[in-house]
Amino acid sequence: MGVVVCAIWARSFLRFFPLNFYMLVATLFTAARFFTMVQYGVRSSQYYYFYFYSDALLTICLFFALMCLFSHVFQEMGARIYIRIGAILVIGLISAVSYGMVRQAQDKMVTHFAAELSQNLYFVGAVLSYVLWVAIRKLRETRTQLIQLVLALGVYFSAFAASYAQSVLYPNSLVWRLVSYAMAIWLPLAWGYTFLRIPEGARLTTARVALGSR
Amino acid sequence: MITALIFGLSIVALLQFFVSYCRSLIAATGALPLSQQVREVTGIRDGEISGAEFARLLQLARLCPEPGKDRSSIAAVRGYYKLLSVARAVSGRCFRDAPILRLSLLTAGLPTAAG
Repeated sequence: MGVVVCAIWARSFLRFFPLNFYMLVATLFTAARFFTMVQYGVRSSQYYYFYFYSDALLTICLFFALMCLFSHVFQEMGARIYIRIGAILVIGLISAVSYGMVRQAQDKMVTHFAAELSQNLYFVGAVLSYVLWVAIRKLRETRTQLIQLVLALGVYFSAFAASYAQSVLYPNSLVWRLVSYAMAIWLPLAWGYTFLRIPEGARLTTARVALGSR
Repeated sequence: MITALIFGLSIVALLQFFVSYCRSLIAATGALPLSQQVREVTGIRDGEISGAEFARLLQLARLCPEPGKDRSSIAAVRGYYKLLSVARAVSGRCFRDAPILRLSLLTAGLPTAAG
């Protein structure tokens, strides 16, 4: 909620609407998860279903937030419509792949599908964030706000992709849970800081920021 | 196998994003020129300031009686510097056993014990 307030304060709410929409939905779902947990208990199937479904929906919202950042970077090329079509195609493809992966587990297919979809979206989100970061460097994008929003989202996606992979490799490890908690704080803090402290007109040379190019 | 690959790629991407993000935070401050007096006191002569000079600059900053609003910024830069130092130490320790880690750190642009 703090991010939305910061964005309104900085008059960036509409400019980065998908990012703010994600934050609003995340706030609503967090409250709903809490009430579900209180009502049915943390080990109940209701909470289990609701958690994974809301997570899948939130990841889709975040995916569209990433597409919004793509639009900002490529706006001068007039590629907005292609990005929208591409986003829908990628979501459809990931959903189909996720369905294919869980098709055998008929008894728990619904929750497995939601979990698998989130996991795949996080990894694809990390890859697309990296592609966007490379595009920012190649196009010599200088808007500090945009650069920081993309980098913060890249950290979020790649941390979740790594934690999901780690939970498969080491199921008993608790590190991936800690990553979830840390990232739940990371994204609002990073985006809130960017909206609040970085003016819209601030410029930054990516050569000073990009690794391997000092 | 695929999961391990996803894990490795995600960790490398995470390092790249995180270090770039930290750099973007301190880039504005890093672009400020040092005054002639500061250069004389710290003995920094080159135009480009390297990470090795950080300790000297930090000592000078500690001499300031009232850091004011800069206190949190200095703490953040110190944290970032420590993080990179730890990454350097870890890469140096793991290098003999896991050359791929050093490759990852080099790809991420982090310093390694071997330079």
